Amino acid sequence: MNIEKLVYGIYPKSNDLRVHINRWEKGIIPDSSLNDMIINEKNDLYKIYKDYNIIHTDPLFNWYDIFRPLTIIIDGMEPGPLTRFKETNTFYRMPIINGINDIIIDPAVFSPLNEEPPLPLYLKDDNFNAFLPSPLSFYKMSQVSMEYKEFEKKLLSIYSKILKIFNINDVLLYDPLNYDKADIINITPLTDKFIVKIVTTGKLYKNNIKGKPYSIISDYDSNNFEIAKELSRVPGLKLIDGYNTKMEDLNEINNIIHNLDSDNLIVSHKEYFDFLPRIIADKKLNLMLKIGD
Amino acid sequence: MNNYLISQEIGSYRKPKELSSVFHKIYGSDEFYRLAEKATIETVKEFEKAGLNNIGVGGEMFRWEMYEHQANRINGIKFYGPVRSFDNRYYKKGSIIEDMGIKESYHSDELKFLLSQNYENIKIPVTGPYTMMDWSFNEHYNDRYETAMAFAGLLNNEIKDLKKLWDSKFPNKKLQIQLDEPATTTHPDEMNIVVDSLNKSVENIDNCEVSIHVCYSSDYKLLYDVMNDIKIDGLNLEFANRDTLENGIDDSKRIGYQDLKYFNELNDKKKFIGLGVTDVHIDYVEPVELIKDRINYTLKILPPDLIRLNPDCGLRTRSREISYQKLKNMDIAKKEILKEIE
Repeated sequence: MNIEKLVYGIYPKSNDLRVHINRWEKGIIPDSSLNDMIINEKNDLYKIYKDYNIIHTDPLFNWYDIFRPLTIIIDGMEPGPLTRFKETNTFYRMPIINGINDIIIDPAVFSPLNEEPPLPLYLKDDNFNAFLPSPLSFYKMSQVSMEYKEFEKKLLSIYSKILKIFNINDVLLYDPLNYDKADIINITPLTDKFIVKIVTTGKLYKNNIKGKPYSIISDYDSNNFEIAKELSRVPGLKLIDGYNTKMEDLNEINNIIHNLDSDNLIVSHKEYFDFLPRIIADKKLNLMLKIGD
Repeated sequence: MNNYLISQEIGSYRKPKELSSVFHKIYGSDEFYRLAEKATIETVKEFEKAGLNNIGVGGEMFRWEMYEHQANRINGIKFYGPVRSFDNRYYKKGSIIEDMGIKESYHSDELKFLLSQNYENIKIPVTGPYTMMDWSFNEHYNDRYETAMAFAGLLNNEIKDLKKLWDSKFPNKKLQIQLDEPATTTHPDEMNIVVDSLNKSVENIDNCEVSIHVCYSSDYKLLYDVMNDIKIDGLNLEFANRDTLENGIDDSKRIGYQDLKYFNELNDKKKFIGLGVTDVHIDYVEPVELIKDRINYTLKILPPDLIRLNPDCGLRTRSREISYQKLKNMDIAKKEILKEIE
């Protein structure tokens, strides 16, 4: 079996970077100094990814939450009140969305933002996927004054623009919320032009995802896996827990993989690692490197 | 009348700079205790000047925050590093790696000091077992129920120890304990864990008045539905934050307090409500008239002996000057309403 490994979403910051951001927030250090440090820290992680051939997104050290920079650069959106992220003790600014008009701040160039470390949105390298929240969770986790279908269409159009600006072919859509049976996310406008991976949460239903993504990466469940196999080219499983410091047993993971009926597989983690202390995220990343050996 | 609209603090109050600026550096030293005790006395004086009936523990000058303070005093919890709360704010989230046991009492030093000052109108906030469980990583126990019950067992011992200390000074007076449980309604399908762990925390403890403090819940009804199963005397809750700033006592103006109708329908055991009448997240000092409207609206639903008055939550997020003004306006509003009731 060909096994690829995927690390996505916000990765916990180093202690140095947290302190640096604190000082930046207090105006002690300039935007450019913070930007340099963010780039250096991203490059440190990219080196590990490259050495071990890991598919990855940007670690998003300059994103305060998975919606914030998007709500700032898109006309019609703004960050709202602090809101609990699912059932965690971590909070995000709920997007307030009165429209989705256009991108009003170039996401690719250095730009200091209010209430958020500076852009660019991504720092690209090899094996890079652009991280973007899926329209469905974006919609459900925001205060929106439009119907979902219109929201989805307009948001995916903006996403296409972002990907073109950065000249990126691979995109990862992240859905932190469970799907209801009636939920339908139509990603055809993206799959027509880009290679799309989608990370889902909870039980997957056959009708949930329209438009054939390259990969559906789901929670470990035989039914989910069969659906992911059927609806995407490479099924994926989230086998590392990003919510708990307890370390997984490598043998158990390898046994699970060994018993799967598939030629290809993407192995990833349940929830992005920002809910863990950095030292544990690094240990889990290290464990991921050994999967399938 | 003297049990009408009792006013109380919820917990934390901004520390004076001479304490906050060195808190971590000198924590546990003689100098720390000197400054924490001095700050407590100063804060109690402010509370008394503002007219509070109950002074809590004088603004929690002995504690930095509610989770780590307790977790640091428990064997079996390991801290690997900070975890994001929001933006670039982080907190230390402990991991339970083995059976837990109390390393040292959570709050005995604080209570001993309060008793040495002969303060008897106090209420001790302690972080509840469900929140401790929800805010910890669990590498050891089988499930969330077992974890919460383990925290509850520890808290039960702590409350018993605090009660012994209290009885040594005021043997015939009830000790007031406030179980802080902000996580209470975050997992709607786990209310059984909330109920069982809270009950275990206070089992076999007599002559105590026990309340629960919950804030920023998206659905208090989950709590109201089970409150008669929990061995508590009252619920100190946040309401002002979800209310309008407009005057008036009709439903459209007092949207933050409408849930109380549902509370009243279910309140078979006559539990009191600690009514959050001032928002701790804004510097705006609510005028006396607005606070009166919030109380008068509630008086249409509940009798005055089942209403206590408090800020939504601990006031440590505001300056001491603004906090004082908020408490003072709460007291003026209370006194004017009591006069009207007479």
